[in-house]
Amino acid sequence: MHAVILDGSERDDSATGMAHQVISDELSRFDWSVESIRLCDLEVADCRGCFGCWTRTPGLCIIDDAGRDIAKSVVQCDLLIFLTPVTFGGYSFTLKKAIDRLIPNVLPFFKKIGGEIHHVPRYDRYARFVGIGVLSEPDAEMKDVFNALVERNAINLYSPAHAAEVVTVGEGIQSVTSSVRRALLKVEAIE
Amino acid sequence: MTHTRTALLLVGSPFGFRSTSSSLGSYLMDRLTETGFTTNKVHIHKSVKSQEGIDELLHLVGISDLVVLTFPLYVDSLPAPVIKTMEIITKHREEAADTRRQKIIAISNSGFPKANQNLVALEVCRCFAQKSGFEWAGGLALGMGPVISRKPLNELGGMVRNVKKALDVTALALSEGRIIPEEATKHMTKSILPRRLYMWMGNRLWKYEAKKNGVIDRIREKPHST
Repeated sequence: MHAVILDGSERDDSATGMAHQVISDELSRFDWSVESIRLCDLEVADCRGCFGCWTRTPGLCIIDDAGRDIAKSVVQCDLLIFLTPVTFGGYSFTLKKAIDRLIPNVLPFFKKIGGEIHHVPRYDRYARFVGIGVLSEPDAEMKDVFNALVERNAINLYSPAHAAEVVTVGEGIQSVTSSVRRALLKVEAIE
Repeated sequence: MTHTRTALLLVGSPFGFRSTSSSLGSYLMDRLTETGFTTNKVHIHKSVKSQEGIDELLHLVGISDLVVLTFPLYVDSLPAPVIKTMEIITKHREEAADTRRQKIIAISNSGFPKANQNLVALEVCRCFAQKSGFEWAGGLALGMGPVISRKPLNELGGMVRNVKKALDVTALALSEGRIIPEEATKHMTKSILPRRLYMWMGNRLWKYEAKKNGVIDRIREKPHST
């Protein structure tokens, strides 16, 4: 089983770095192969909003850079993890840049799911999905927004199972580990 | 001497001033001008590409009484360059310690038929306002955004009457120092077209575009299948 961690932290962010290590260690203990993608080390262009990935080069972004490779890794993995400093309740710019480039992984057409309209899936299967946010200080409102965003993304990413956890800078490794385990257990990635 | 109020439109679409986000924001700016505001506009994607653009953006934010942020919904949230801009503004305001009262509103438009799919993105905007010291004056959510097709609202006739009503009510409230009234959010969430018609038109349009580009037979291709 293969997991992809999309890490939206910056180089000097030790708290998110610790969470990354914990996720990687936990998954490795359960024989997952882990692909860690540190987005701050990659050149990922902003989505141009051209929809060329739907009507010119179906399934492929027209921009041929790391964003394309990330979209491929996301389709081919069994577990997708978004790891990010919680930024205004959402994802960091660095992570969001990669997420905006995942649009080729669905079709342009509309479909009704649970009373709402969403895009039709392009692929037959999609990965389980976990969002791990790192808050700079405790903030219940931002935590709620983060959880809601992961919930919405899970619908649009067609994830068969999903979980969200938020940890705070300064939390010890045991506390972070227990949050990570809770999320991974919820999507049945570990036992 | 009376202080002239200034409003700044931040357009968060890659298509800049030729976008649906700009159409919505420009209509609101015109109404605000009628109530005595002077207005400025910035295309976020262009500005954040250079230090000169960032400096100009920060200056315009600094002199504004009201900031209007408009953007298309990208994967349940804001486009990445808009988040980058928010990060830059917040850092700058933390360092500058400007205590002037400034309001901010946000208008999110999405291609999904239902407006409520924008709500998490508007919550992100509210958190940004809190974090960066703006007074949050509310958000407007629009579904079926592509129907506006990047055109000025006044060229679209009765189809966008509820959108215009929402923005008229919003402009009046903001000019009187109030937040966006519930009446405006209700007008904005009304469907521009019947939902089934919108979905039918949307699905046909994508096929038409793919056919025009010679890829209709490949539109469902799975290039990353294992």
